[in-house]
Amino acid sequence: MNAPARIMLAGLVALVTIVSHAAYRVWPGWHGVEIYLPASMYPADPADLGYIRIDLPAERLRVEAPLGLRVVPLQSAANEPQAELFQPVRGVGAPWASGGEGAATVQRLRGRDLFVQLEPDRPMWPAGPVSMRPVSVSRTPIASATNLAGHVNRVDERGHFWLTFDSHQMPVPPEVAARAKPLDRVREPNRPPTARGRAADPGTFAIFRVLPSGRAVLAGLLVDGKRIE
Amino acid sequence: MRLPHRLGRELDAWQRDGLISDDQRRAILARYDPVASASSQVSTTLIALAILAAGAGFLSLLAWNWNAIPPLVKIGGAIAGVTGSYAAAAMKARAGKVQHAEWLAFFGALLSGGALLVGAEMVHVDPERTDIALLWSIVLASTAWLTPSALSAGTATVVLVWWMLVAAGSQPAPWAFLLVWPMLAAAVERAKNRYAAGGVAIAFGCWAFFFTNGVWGDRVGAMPVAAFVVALLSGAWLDALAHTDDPPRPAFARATPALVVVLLSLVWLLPSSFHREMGNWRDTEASAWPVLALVASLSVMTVRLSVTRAGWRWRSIALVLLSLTWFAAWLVMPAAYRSSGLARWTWTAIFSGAMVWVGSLTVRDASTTGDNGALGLGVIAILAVVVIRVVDTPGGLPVQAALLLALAAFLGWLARHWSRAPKEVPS
Repeated sequence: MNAPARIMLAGLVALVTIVSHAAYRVWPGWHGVEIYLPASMYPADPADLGYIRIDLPAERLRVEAPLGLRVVPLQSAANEPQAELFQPVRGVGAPWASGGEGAATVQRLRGRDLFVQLEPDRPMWPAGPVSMRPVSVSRTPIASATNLAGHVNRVDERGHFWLTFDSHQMPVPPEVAARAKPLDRVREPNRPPTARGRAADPGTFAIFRVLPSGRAVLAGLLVDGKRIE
Repeated sequence: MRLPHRLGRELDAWQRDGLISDDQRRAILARYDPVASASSQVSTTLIALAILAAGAGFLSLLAWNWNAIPPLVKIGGAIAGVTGSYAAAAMKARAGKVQHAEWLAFFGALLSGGALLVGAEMVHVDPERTDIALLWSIVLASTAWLTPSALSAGTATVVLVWWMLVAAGSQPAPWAFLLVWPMLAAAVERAKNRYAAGGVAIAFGCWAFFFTNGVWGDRVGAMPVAAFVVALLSGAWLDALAHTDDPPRPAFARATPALVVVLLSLVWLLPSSFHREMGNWRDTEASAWPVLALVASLSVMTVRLSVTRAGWRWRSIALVLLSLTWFAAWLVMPAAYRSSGLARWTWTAIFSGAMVWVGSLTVRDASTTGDNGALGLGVIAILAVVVIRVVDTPGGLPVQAALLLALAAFLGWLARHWSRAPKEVPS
């Protein structure tokens, strides 16, 4: 193969990579079911671009039995004024956390994908569409449920999971961006400061489109009934 | 054909030893193009830097108005740019302009990263949480292999290591590295560039470290032992390759001393300092000053070695020392802030000032010896300064754009100045 042909082949590799990646990302937006999740907004860097970052309380879960983990109650809010909020969910499908407990178990789960099952919660406004809430978490999608795939970012031995979903930022009009409030920063001994998620902002919902496989994209934001895409 | 760098010195030695006459020396020199020499090389490099700075300035302007551009226009423009760059590269290659073809293909591979980001941005995907860097490194590595291009290989290595640093915070170990790395090793075999080869070798060492990190998790007591064993075995393997002349040793193995030093340094420094121990460093303020002294010593040794020594081995060691300097400075910064009270901007200013010093010396070295390696080191140092200053510049995107465009204009002027400098043609 001569030099021009090799370069064209390299260009073909680039184009195939770009197009297949874009199609993979956009696919849930075309074929997914639309759902709404309570959300909060906080500023994104660089601020000049008009983006906000979206925090979802559904990303912070406290998994209950049958996990096999030692579930220890959170400290009371009085002892820990900035206590992080966790939504209680059931662990489904043994033995996804079996084979030991404590450090060994949580280390195996960190960095893995989990699937959060969602159920209708309450109308976002009178006679409006219904938002969703997490009810359980599993290692594989559950066929009869609405699944949302998440990545285990952190986990501790008390059964607290910090998940991340892929879609987390989007551009919004300046008047919406102005409502975004910074996350609390918490400093713990011998650790760098970490962001601590808060409850959802009133009237703010993230719009996702999810496939049965749990793969999803962020389609937009609902702020006080106004849709932003 | 360009005069090989060493041939000029060899001809002088041969004539001095009576092996060839002056006429024969001139006849040999006549077979090559007039020596573009150092001034021309520096001029070309400055033009490349000016183009990079102008490109970055243009991107800042684009970012400033990013939300006003429809998504289809963004992705369409990015794909058109990638296609056009590779097509132009192929045309240049057909015309025999190999250097231009390499640069254009590299530009196309760079644009591919932007196109991948645009694809993710269309559906509001956070690029930090995906494998865009891995996909980009695949495009860069395939371009480096097929072109072949040391520039693309070096950039692919940086992007791949960046992806590892991001991905290694989670488990399992970043196995996908092993899909890309053979392409990089093959690329530096074809491109024959010792610096790119050294980077590829060091990237393997980084992967070995994070692999052990993934295997052993956060068990601090066990991890250093595992990392040490893997690093030692990796270094020993590459060291054996480096000293095997039959069959010819792989290019990436020529940087083995660099690999061994970096691996061992990672093994000794990272597990004891990363994450947890960083907090302790802040409490032991006195430990900052010996490390600062070490950083200063390494800096001086780096500059001295890179300026005074010519062999690839010394150059590799100099690069390693430079890397260690940066690494040590990064490690000690949290402690130093607290003990000295210096603000972050002060440190970045001092650091970028030191980089200007290294860059100036090495570019000067290149201007007198015509050594592309030294020139590359200087260019890296100067680029580091540009990146630091852009990241650290207050005032937002408009100010960044203005600074970058001003820098591009300055570099363009400097390139023109260099191009008018007298050519150093061996007589």
